[in-house]
Amino acid sequence: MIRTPIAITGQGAVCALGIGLDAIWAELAAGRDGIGVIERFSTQRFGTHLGGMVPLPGTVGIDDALTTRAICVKYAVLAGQEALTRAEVPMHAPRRIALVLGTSMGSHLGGLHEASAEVAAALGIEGPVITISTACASSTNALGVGRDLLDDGRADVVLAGGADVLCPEIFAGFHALGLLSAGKCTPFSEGLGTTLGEGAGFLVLERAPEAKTRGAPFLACLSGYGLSADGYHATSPEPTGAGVARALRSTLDDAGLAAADVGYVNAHGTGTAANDPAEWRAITEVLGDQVPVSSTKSYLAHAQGAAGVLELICTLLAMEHGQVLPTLHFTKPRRQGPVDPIAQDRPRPLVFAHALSTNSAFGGANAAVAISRAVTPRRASPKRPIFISGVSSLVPSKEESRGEGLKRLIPTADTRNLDPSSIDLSTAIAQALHDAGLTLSGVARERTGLFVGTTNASPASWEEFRASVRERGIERASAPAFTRLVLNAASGVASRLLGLRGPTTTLTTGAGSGLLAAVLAAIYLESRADADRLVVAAVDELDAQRPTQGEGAASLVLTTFANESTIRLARWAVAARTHSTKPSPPSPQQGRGSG
Amino acid sequence: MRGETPASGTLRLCAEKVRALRLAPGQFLITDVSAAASCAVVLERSTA
Amino acid sequence: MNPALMAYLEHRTRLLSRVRRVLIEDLHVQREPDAIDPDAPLFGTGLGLDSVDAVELIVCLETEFAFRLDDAALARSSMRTVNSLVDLVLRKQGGAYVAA
Repeated sequence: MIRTPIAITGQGAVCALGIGLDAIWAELAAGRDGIGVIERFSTQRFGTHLGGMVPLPGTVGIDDALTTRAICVKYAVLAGQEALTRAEVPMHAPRRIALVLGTSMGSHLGGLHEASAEVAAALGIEGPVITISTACASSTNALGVGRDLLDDGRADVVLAGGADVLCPEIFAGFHALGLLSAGKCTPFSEGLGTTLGEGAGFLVLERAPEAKTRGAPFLACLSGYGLSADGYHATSPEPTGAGVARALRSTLDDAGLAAADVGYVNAHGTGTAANDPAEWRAITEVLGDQVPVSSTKSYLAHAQGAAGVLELICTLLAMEHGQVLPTLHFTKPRRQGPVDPIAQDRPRPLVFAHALSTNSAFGGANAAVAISRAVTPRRASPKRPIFISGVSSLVPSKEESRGEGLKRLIPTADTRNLDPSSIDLSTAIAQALHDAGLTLSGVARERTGLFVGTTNASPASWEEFRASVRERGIERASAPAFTRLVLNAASGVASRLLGLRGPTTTLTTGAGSGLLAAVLAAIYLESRADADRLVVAAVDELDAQRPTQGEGAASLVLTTFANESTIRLARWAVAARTHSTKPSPPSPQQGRGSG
Repeated sequence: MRGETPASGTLRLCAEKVRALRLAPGQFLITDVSAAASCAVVLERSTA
Repeated sequence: MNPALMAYLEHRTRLLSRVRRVLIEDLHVQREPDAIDPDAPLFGTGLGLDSVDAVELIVCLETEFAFRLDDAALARSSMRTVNSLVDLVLRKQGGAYVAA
């Protein structure tokens, strides 16, 4: 059986290099970066002042009165509109168009799903709207989820990508963590630290045969993707690069590629002392040390959740011109770094058949994608039935202090610096694994993943961060609290405490986030070879700002091993809001499901 | 329980139904509808 | 014992208990004050702090003891044990005991 290839039929972007692909390519080709002194907000109280800000001509209509969230929506709409227009997407069946938006934007800007809903409404998209939030891996992760929706027949067109805005709080958090470089970031080169940026980018994804039938443009194939969890630390990558390596291997496997097929890697390459060497070790381990590797963060800075898709778009633009992009500003190699970082000041002529782009995030989430120049059909793995082997539902108790339940199941758990969301989510997962009779060790940990649905990062951590800014000034914002503000922070803690190092994602749709996590986990687990089990979990935390909000967590252990349970997750569906909520029967041409 | 649990509520329902299926075979359809998307799953244990 | 030394030791003990309180209240170290060994390493297997906590610890000490620490080398060399933090505070207060 052949899996239907997924075509990229359009793209659009807004980033530090400009608005729209033509402006961006002009800068890329000329070797000009988009990094400069930040003007939108004051950086006077910080030791560094650089950012990769979107250059905003007056016509775009952004001014100081707009909130950060409105700017984010504006970027996303600009990029999304360009992508849909370039792909010539017919808008006569808007309910069959899905939006998968990756962002690491903070929940202080309101529910993330509400921002995505505004983007969908502005673009006329009426299909499912899914927000992926795995910090700096968000948009790469979103491309993979978009691919899965097409594979599962849940949409005919997916607009997938991401958007993020550089705001003072994010700048202050990275500053407090000591991650910002004094000058422009120089990935893999001497001079440590990163430069933050912003922007939005989207790809239009479609099943290749249908795209061809409608005469859509063909840019490349999204031939595979992979996810993994480090299960190591809130902000630092696993130093051996093992987590990144798993995401790269999964991507190759999903795309049906061998290491030797990969002609170019667009690295996460943030420039920090921790990221770059760990990532290089991972690339070396999976692909060898001869593949050219560059970081386009030297052009656009680190666009946070939008970084992955923007870097892929830059890679695609260069591919279209028979080139690969350099790592700008490279002066002197570090001790551990790419043999060929494409250290030059202009793109290099190089034609490749397949390329990888990879990102790593706070919370230890990694995501990678493979693109291929030509349509590359590949063998589909047989669909596997999915069983539910363990369940839990947690209601925080008044009788015992938070964390006691977790310590009963994991006596060694260090609950220092964990917020209520992290503790409750981890406890629910530990209980579900216990219910399933599972003690994970060795390779089973790498083959067990975690899909989480939630609505907000911990309100308690938000308040702690806000209080530190209020009482000490923004330049002395709390670094520990900042690390807990990403939506996937709790998931990262659970991965670490429970040793879940397989595929991971965190998503939100507001209400229904937990059930959607179960549906996406089922789609993933059914057809992939890189995981045997996926733990699905969801958490809600009390929020002083929203008095109606309750608290609790729940978890299901999904397994492909028939001997672990007799109860099946037999069918599933995800659709636009007002569709029938009955699961539709599997469409025959997809040969999916087994109900 | 007091208060809304938008993210975990339906997953908690799934957990309850799985516990019920452990006691007796059957089938449950669980749905959730939000402004963003509607989702559904079928949980089942056959008599076989 | 000489009165200056006695006064110094009393002052040092008071500072130690304040540093322990910062570790418990601001850095969330989950121990009773007396269970925090003044010579235990702050990071790794000792008190379990990590790199994310380093800057936070400095900021919290600056706030608690009303000083500014701009000397990165001094900050680094002080971030070893609870005792080395107390020494840092003493030094910033200009109150280190000098044996006559």
